[in-house]
Amino acid sequence: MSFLSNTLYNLNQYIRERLGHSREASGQRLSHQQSLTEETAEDAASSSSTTVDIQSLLPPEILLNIFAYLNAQDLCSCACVSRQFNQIGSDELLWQFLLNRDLPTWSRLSRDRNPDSLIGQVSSKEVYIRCCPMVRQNTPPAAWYLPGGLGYERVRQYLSKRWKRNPKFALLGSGIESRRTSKLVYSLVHNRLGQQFEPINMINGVDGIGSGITYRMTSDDGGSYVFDLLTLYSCRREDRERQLGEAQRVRASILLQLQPAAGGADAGEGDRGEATAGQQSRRRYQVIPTITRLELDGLIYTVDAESSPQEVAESQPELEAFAAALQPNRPVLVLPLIGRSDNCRTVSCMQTIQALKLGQLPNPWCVQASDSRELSAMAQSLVWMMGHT
Amino acid sequence: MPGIKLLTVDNEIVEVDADTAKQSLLLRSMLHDLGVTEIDDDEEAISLPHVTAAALRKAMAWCAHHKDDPPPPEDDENARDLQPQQLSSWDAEFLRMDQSALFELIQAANYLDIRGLLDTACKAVADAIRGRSPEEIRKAFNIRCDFTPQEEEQVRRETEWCEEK
Repeated sequence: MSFLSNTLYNLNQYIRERLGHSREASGQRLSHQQSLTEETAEDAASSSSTTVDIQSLLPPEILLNIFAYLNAQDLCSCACVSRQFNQIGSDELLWQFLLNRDLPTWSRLSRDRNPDSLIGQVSSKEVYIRCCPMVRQNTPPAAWYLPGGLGYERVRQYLSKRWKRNPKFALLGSGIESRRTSKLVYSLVHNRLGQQFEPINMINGVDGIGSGITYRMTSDDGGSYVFDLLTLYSCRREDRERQLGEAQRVRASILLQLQPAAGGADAGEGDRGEATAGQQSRRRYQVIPTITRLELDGLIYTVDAESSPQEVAESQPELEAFAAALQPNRPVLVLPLIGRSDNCRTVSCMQTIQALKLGQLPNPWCVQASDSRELSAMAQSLVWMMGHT
Repeated sequence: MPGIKLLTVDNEIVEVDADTAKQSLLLRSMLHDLGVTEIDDDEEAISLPHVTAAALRKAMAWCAHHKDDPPPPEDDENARDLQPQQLSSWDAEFLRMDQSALFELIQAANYLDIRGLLDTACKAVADAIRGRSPEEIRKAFNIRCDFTPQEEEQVRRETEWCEEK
């Protein structure tokens, strides 16, 4: 949130500063208006209107104050009303305020809608428009997005021609290992309600890693998708129960090994325990060869959204290592998970993007805030994943 | 009950309760500077060049009703409610007036620096805009569309993404 906190402004203060300058002017405006009203009264025959023109009566600063209570959609309507409304409704500080107010609540962001890459580059209004999940994009997505199921059929035919095998996704990350949010896996395995995720096959892994389930998923609008889902844990169940910190979990992960140092120094797996704290912050990991051989088609990377942005940032090396094992065009879906109640989300989508440095990934990515106790958000974003596979 | 006399722009003298009047930051500092403590028939009325008597009475009525509200947060905090809240039913009823009176009241609240009233009244105007089409907004507030047809087409195109999906 560096931008938002750095330039954290106070709209009220801003408005009030400007009000101070305009107080005299607005007073004059009022008396001017009064004389107008008197004239109109004399000339009553020509006008029967009882309403007054808001623009001539209220100074721009007050209109700005009024606009700050509206949402983006209403402001767009205002922008079409008149030149003055257009100008005030496009005010940079007004949209900064809106962004500041609304961004933490956006539940879905992606590489194409990444505020982090736009803030400071373009106007706040444009950031809002290009990233807000509620705003329809001007360029319609591919045909599979068409309503009515026709598109899904088309894409399924396309996919079935292209794939000899089911797409294979790995499910991993602190979200499925944290006691607070690990219910997601349970929800998947024991999903009896509505059969949104129907298990149709078991998959054997290699070297004890990569066993999983083939699911047939039915999306909200009736599309049907088949994929392999491999659940990858970084350690054994007993270790998970201990709930070590995220940095410790990544360091001890059985799925990762240290990347050989660029200078050719021997930094094999044996050194991992003894490295000093200074080196730890610089360690770079790669996935173990077994993972590479799985030839994954995408990642579903879960984080515990009830921890903290700092904790989530500790997961970044793990995500980086797994993403590096993917083809650059394969999708990465990030699910910040909550598990207790709706108000305990402490890590927003925007903070997740920053903590995991998603802007640096070459892969298409999408962040979808989800509840580990239900699967609808995950199902929705899996549709996005299939579109990128 | 100490009172003060205010001379409005339409040359009316309005007597108001000093404690109530102090919710106006302008009047509060005026009273402070003038050292007015109680009403005095010889005292000259304080001149308010930009406020009508009707708007002043309305503003003071609002202040009287809200005099026990907690003081507004300091300016240097991020004071504004991040998510706009609904008007209380008392405020909604209080603000039920024709537009010119409402705008005069906003002007008065602005000049007198009564922040709570200003924000409440602005919220009421925002409520009148919310959910309306550009044409409906023009009609509601008597605004003339001063775009050229080309400009209108352009702003319409620029904002058409704003339809929520």
